[in-house]
Amino acid sequence: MTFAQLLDILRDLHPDIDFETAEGLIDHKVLTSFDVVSIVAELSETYDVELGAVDIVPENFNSARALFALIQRIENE
Amino acid sequence: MTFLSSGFLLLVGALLITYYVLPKRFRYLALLAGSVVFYALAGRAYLPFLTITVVTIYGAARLLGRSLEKQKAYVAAHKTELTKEALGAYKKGEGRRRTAIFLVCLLINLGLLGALKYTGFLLSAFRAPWEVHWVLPLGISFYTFQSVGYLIDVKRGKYPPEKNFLRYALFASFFPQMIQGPISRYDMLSKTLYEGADFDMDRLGRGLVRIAWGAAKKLIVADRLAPALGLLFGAEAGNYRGSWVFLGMVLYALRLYADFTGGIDMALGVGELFGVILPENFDRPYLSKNIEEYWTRWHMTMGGWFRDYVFYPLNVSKPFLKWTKRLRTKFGDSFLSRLPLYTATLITWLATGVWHGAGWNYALWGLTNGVVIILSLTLKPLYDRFHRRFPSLKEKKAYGAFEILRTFLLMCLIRLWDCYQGPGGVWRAFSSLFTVFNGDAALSGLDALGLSLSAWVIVLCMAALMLFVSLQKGDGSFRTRYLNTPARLWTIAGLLLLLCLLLGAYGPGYTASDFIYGQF
Repeated sequence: MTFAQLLDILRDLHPDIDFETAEGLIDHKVLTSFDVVSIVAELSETYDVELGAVDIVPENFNSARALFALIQRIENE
Repeated sequence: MTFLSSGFLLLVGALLITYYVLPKRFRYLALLAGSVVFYALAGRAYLPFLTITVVTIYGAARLLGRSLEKQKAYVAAHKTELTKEALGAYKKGEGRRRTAIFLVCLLINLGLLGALKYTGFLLSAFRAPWEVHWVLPLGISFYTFQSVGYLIDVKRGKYPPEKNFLRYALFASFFPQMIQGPISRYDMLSKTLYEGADFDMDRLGRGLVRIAWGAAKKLIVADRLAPALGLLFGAEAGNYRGSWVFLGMVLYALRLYADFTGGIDMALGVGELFGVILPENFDRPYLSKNIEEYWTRWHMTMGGWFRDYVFYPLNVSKPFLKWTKRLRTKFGDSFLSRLPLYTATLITWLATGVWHGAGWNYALWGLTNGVVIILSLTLKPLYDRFHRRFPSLKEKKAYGAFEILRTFLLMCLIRLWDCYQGPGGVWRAFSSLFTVFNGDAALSGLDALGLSLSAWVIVLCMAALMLFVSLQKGDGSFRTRYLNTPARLWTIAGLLLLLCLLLGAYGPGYTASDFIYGQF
């Protein structure tokens, strides 16, 4: 999947946030636990990217870039 | 033994001297010895249960760690000569072994917690002809969950297991968190727990301020309100309807906050005396604007535990993801396609409720929280549309205050499950809020609740002080803004202790109330 596709998923959840630059999405409570679960479900359903419970840590969800890096890591495994 | 007993104060005093006299590398042993003494003084019968948890979790974590290391070494050594499938099969076999170890250990510990905490309730619920009165070790829900969290993290490979048994035993039993938490994570707590901090008068002052602040909340607000709430929710609760229920639920919110945050302040303050940083458990929860936000700010370490070890694993499990996929294909982006998410939410909240205690009320309290969260999620599109129609509303301070008040009252209503016996009692109290109008009687009868006028004034002044401190936190913590010189630190610590002595609920015939969360 591409970074642009990930941005689309995130913008669907919060159209008012600029995910290209936003940092601290979890630390600043921009993304809730329900948002995280929706993202994981969308990634699994549409892009066959399967995140485990172990991957759901703030560092991986604090920015779109960090999340994309995780997705690339999983895709390369 | 509670924070406010002479035994506890003596123990901390003796431990402080021992801790700072010992060489740095042995200081954690002083904390471990202190923790064992604390727990033995709390109840010698508790010790075997804590020991079982410490030994089994330590042993299982070591086995899991060894299996992960062995797997890593095997994969590194055979990466080039074996096919991907062969390596996958090996990993699967090791994974199965780890799951078996994990499940056996989980069964022992959750089985112990379940048996001690819920057997009596289950026997009476199913009208069994016999009763049991088993010992319930102090803080068993807290230390079991903290230990299980550690085991899950090791199994996930988040960090290697602690090899030193005594260091692990200290993590599981560190005494300030045994009364009512917080529930710590090993990777965070271990940063300071074994460090053997240098003696620092400023840090000692900060710890004392935190302890005195917690004691003030507990003694001046929580314990002063306890008799009034005993009347409102006790055997004669039927006499207090309508406005009394409203008054009771607001006072209970105040008491619970003062009691629980007071206890946590004391736990964190005691930790600070030894240079140990325990996790914060509250972030001004009564200033939350919706229930979802509230639960990220109240009892944060418990909420985080259930989120990370129950809610997320359920939602990202293969059956739940498959279920979501199937429903989305069939129903698109509708309410029905979110059934797996709602089911996971209800399971998580039911578990949270049951964690608090054995009784239908706790389960129903948990489920009510889950249902309200689901409702607020379902209505979110409507809410968003409303705000798109009135975009300036969110900017207005009055609207923010309305959201805070609405969330506070909603949480008060959900807590009626805490206050009354059985669904019938809760329903009668709840419905009387809308059918019995006796505001005048409630106001004129305040003195009948066992508190004098001066006591009410003291409680309200302290509550106002608590609100003032909470509001300061918005621009950095109160401590960093105002308690930034040694003179201020020690003066405030002294003043707070004086405040406890002058205004606290204690004296001849007085017995310190147990912490509400201590019973969980």
